[in-house]
Amino acid sequence: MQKSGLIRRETWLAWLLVAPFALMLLGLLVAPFLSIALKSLSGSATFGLPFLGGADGLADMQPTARHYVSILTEPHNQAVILNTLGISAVVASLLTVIGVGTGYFMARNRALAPTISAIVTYPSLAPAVTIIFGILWFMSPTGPINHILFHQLEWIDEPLEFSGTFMAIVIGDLALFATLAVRMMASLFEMIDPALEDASSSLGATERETFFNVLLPLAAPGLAAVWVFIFIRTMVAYVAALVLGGGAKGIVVLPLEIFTRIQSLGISGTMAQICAFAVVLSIITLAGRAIYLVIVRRAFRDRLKGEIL
Amino acid sequence: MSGLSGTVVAEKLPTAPVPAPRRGSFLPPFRWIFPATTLGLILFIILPPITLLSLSVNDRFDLVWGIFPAGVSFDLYRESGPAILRSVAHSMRIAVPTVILSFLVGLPVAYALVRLRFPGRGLLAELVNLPLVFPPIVLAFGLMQMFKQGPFAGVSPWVAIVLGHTIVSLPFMIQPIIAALQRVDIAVEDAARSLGASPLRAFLTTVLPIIVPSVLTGVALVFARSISDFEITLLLTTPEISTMPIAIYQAFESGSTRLGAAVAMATNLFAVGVIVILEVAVRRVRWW
Repeated sequence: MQKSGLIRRETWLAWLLVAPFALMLLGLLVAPFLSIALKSLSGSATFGLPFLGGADGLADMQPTARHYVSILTEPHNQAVILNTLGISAVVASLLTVIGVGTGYFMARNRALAPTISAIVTYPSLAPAVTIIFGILWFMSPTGPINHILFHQLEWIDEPLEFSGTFMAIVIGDLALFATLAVRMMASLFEMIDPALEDASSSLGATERETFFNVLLPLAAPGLAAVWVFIFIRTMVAYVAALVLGGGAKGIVVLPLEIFTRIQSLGISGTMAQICAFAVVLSIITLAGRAIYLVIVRRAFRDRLKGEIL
Repeated sequence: MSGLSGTVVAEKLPTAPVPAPRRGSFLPPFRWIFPATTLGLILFIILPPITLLSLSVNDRFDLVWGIFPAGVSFDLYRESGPAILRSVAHSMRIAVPTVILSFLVGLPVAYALVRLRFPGRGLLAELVNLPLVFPPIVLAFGLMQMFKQGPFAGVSPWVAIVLGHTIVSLPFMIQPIIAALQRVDIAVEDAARSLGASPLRAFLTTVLPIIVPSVLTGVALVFARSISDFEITLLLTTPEISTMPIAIYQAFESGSTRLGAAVAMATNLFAVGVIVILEVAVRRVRWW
């Protein structure tokens, strides 16, 4: 009896301590998202979200899936989804490769690692807008790339047009998420005992063979986890697309499409369509997160907790 | 991951002769790939900001080789001084309450997750990281509806932005504190309580001083997340509110690249400076 009383008391205390967090999460994230999900299934053209100031109640819902159907069938929407998935996949793949190179170098060079870490951390400390505008200027017709290729070396007939291209957003996102990829990879390679490489070399394997036959197989689950993590972080980011995407006629990604539609709400488009986009983006992201957690738990049993969240 | 530890294996292996290097390849040695990738990444990260810095202190639009300033002038910084100070003040007005709120809400959650056993603990541990992965645009959209048309329509936009920043920043406060609490022996707290201290007093006098460095790490992370936030603030802001990232965006969008560069560099200096100071403070406290 005394033990169950203690357990009950501990439960009460715990929920009392977490109540402010739980209320914030429910009130500011979960409830609005549920309202957004409800609205995405509504045929009503009213503004506002159900139960959060909107005119709709459950009775006025006029349930429909047409907003989701239009996401999958309209060419513009299909292009947005494909751009989003394509950019995220390319950024995740490139950063996995770059992360392997830099992360391994940092893990095996303890003397240089703090300096490299400090430099690589810069993009995560500075406002993302600064990083993206820096890249915009760097690649602009008057920036150093075009200055050298066009003015100095005269290798090209006209300055390269960078803004509004797929590659522009990829480069912007590479800069934004390089910190994450490199730090995660460095942690991963620090976990692999260098003695294994020594053993492989002593058996006659070349550096290349040791790397591809010993290190990479050991690191493979970690690489997969980093890939998924960067993929979902890139999917939800829109600063690079906003600045480097070239506007509505350029390359548009899913979060930017939502942002643009919110900005033009009342002029064009419907609230329910925005909500459907929001739900699609959230579901893909949360599914990615679930895959990431499965990989990390199976492969590392939470050993990477802390560095890879 | 027991397979990762190869010390024992290495000790038992016979030493084989190292093969002679293969001749005739025009490719650079394989080991060069790693420093070359690192150097490339470092250049990729530092060159664009250096170019922006040059642009902000150049006395004309064109840069030498597109990178170096032709002549140095700080006129743009003088001209945009009031706008920079205003954006710094606005960012601080949001970041400081965000840090305080994150600490007050995050500390009890971390304590409950580490020290107490209760139904729903596993679910809560998962939910702590939910704001980290949830799309910021969707979060901001929901908040925008609540605070502009919904039940909190009359509430100040400052409050909406602080709450938005707090939600996405909470994992950055909670995780370092969880890691620190896991390292603190519960016997320390029990000893204080056995001497008559209340649970709160035992925590404040024995545990909190030990976890201060991790709390400061959380403060630095939350501060960095808040002052650099653009995606949530952009939807919730009003013309009267101009945080540092918003000011940079508006300056560039207005077509004044050099002015934008000056605002960006000044605010960057402030943001990175404050975070570096916090990091130094963390190291000092750890050492002490």
